Amino acid sequence: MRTSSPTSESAPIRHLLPVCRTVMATGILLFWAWYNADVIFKTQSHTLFLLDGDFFRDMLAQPAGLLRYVSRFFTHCGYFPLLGGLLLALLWLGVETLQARALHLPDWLRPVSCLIPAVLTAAQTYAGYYIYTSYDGSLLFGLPLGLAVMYTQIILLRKLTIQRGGLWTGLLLTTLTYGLAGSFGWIGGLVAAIYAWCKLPARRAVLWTAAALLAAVVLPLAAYRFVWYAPLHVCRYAPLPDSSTPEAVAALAVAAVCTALLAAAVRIKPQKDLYRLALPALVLGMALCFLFSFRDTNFRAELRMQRLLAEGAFDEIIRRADRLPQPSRAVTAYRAIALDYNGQLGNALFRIPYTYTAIPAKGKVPAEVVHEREFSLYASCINNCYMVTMTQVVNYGLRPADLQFYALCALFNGEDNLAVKNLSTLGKTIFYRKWAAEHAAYLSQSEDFLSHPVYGRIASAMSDENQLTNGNANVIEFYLRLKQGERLLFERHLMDCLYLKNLDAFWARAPRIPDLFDEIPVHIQEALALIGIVDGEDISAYHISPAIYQRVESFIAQTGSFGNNFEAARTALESTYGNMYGYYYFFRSLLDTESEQPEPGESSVN
Amino acid sequence: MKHHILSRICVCCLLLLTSLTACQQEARQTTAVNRLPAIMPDYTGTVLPPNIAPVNFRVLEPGSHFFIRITGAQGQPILIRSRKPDIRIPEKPWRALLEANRGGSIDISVFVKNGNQWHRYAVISNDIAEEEIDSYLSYRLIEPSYVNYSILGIYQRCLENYKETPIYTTTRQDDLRNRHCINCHTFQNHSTDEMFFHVRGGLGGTIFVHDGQIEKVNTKTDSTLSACVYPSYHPFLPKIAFSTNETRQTFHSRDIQKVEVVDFASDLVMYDIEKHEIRPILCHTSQFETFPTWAPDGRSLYFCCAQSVLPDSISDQDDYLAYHYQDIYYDLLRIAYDPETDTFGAVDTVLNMSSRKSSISFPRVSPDGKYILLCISDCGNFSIWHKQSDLYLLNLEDGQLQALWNVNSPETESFHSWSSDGRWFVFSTRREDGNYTRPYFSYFDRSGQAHKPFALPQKKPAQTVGRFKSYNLPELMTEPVGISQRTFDGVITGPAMPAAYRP
Repeated sequence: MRTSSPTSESAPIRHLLPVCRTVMATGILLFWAWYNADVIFKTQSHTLFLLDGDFFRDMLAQPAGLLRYVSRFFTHCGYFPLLGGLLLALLWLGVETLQARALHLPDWLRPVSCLIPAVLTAAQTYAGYYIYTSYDGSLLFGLPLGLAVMYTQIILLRKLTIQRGGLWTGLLLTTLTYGLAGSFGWIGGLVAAIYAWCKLPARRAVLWTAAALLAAVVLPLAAYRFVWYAPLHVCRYAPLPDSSTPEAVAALAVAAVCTALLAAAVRIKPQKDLYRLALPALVLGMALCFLFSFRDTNFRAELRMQRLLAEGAFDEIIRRADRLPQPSRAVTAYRAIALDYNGQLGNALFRIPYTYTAIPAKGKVPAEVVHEREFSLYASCINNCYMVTMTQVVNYGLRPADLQFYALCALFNGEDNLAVKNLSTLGKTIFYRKWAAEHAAYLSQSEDFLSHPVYGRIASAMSDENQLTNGNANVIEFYLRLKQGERLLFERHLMDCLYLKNLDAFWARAPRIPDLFDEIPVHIQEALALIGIVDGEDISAYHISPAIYQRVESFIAQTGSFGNNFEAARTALESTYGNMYGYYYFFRSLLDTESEQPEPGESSVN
Repeated sequence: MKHHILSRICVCCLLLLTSLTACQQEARQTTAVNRLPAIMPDYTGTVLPPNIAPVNFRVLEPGSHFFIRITGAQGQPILIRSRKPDIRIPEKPWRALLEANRGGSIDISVFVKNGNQWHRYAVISNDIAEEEIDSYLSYRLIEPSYVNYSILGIYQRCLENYKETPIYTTTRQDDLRNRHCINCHTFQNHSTDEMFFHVRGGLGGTIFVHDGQIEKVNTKTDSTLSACVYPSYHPFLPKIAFSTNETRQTFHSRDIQKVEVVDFASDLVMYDIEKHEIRPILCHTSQFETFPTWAPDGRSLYFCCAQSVLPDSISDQDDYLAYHYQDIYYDLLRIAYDPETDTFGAVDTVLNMSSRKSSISFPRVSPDGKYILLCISDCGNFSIWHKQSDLYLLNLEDGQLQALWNVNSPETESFHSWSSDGRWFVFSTRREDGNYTRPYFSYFDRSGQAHKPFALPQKKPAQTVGRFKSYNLPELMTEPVGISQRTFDGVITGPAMPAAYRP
């Protein structure tokens, strides 16, 4: 059997490989120029290379801390486009070499494997940014660094023999690698283990697996704690970390099993050609790693909700959305759609004193899913989202795509000076120049802008009203406005007025009520009746149920009978009128209602 | 070999001289344009300090060649030829020219070649003041965001050149427990011997530099609303008047002013740096006292004060203020102080703006004690997010309030500080793009007139607008901060000494 090695290249490959590597490096360099958009970073004032000693020690005390520190340091180099691109290209060239040596890639596969770095680079920038919830910009450099550590680990593990300590040395090495490079450590172990599993006789494999599993429970954690952290702790560099997290335990267990299997494999004469299996194993490992570290529950929820929406499983959408601790804008939108279909949107949207009967919306939200980008753009033009996005930019850096987004926001908000600033900066980048030039024509919300198929629709749906807000209710409102008209937005305003006992503001908005409601919500009827009876306003234009009117009238009369005895009236009338707006208006404070909000899902009747 | 190099250098110089001369000759055959050239930043008709860095600018007129001539009554003219519209003025000749024309003026002639024709624009004239501006400016660089515990820093910039160095920057964005925000850098009498800044978040405390020592103090006590917030150093005592504020921020859903920062309560306290003691000055629940500022004689403390609009029964203050924040107006008040006995006296109203449905913020008394520079906006106290906010000058001798029309712009003008001699002041403004604040400087002459302001000179003119950071809290200093970041970091990461409360 011919043994392949990186040094035994056939003649065509020998010529092809340098070309592929050059193409790869050049591609990465150019890609970096695109991603980095030097002009933008030049205008920033990130404090470069000021990662102080304490920060280093703090980082070192975390799994993969060293890798993250070094990669962050490299990321700073990345602020200089040429240096960053060069560094990245060199790193990937090094990784490619190590990869060939670690995996004993056959000659024909090496040029193809040059594609992997390019794909991974792309995945870690654009794709990675959109998929990961907590994308870390330093991953761009962290990934090749981690892979370099991983391949080095595989090479070292392969070279380990029983004479050098086999199992124990392997365990130690994997543990240290985990400390250095985090998950890469156990991915390396996994790749080697797959190889080992392939070549071990079945009986021995089972035996060694059992031994390794046993060892995995105690040894890696102990080794990890004492080998990695103890010296740091002794030197007062860092407190002992919480290495008992599920992730840490799982990672260490896998690392230990893999290492033990590898050591077992090394004990027997290795059949080197089976390493050919390592590349698919690597892909598998990366996929597993991706799944393992893939925590964007929102993204998964969104995918699921798309299907559920098509199936009409609205309750399930609401249930899933409620379970998410921090639902994304898209999830919130799906939830709003589902609530709307179920006729619960009023209850969900409005923070009502105590009871509220939602009136089904006039027009249902169309079943088609709003295009995510369109919705995001629309929602983010609202200032709180704009500001939140700005915070993300602070953390992850200003990318051309962000600037593109801000330019659009400025155009929507009519902030021409800001739009000009953003567009002119984009105009200096390589790949956004054309886009910037095109959008410069949209300044001052020109006719072109308003007639644009997407921008025009969004612009026409922007709210004219301004209000202060903290929550994401605005996102829902604007969603509704975009898709459904403004009835619910108006309804929310009315309820806010009632909630704050601001009947003047409520009355000022009241003339629009008959046009927008087929049936006026009960609380609004009660408020109107209250205004009619107490203030003597003319409420004849509003369709108020006689029963509701009489109830309010009766309440007012009975309240008057208590004179100034506020507490007595409050107590006596609660059982009969406690669910009426008038009772809230006279006898309850906002503080009371805070604690009496109905639980989600609890039906509310009036 | 040496001769060879020398001859090459001579040839190069000759060519350069020839081309410059040719360009000058060419520029003489020009078409006059009877208006000032559009340049960015706007360095036209302003008063410049004699020690300011070259005011590089970009010519906004279309053209392929640019020729600039800067002249004064005295000194050598500066000639600049460029194919790019960004004009960079050489530092040494600039310095010499300003020095030679101190108290006079300089003229900037702009020639632009568009097609085959040179255009000569009207001459830009700038006065040069007699008085120098304080050499350093400190500020915080931050995105105009609403919460930032990641990458931000306090920087200092030498105004005589373009050197910007960090005083302290945060680098702990990965350290979730210890991420912190820094703000309110303040100096006593424009000197950096006595200074402090706040640290908020994981490593919270106030970092004081006093008598060559650095210490971290936790200024939050059980008896105060919050840790100390807006400061004012007493001019000669080791004491600082602070406000303590219960602050919230909410967002405008549609208004491009974006953020509304509202106080739900605020008081005034005095912190004794040496005794580490806090004692109350004014703590009325029905009034919001904030933005203290000492008169230069140290005998009066000016502050802003508003009547609370929050009913006692309101628990959800955010929602309440969503409808009522526009009803909060701050007046300018003053409380007497006796430095000898360390006692406060009576309070009197200096300027009532609430009756005019306007609100005062950031009062700053001029070093000669004759004027107060302040912001007036439509409501509230966080004027930086109010486009209506403008700078006003209150004459303390005759009580006249004067809007600084030649200083203000349609966009926000907000935080400001005087130079040590009172002849200059710096203020932050969003006039460039409405979102990112920039420091502008204005000359304040002896007759009490503020002159047209000019932007902080930048090496690259585009930086004035292009930088994606806001210059927050610009403060003029006579000297740079000499303490290293590492030293500050050591104190910040250490424990905070608790401040004692003395009723």
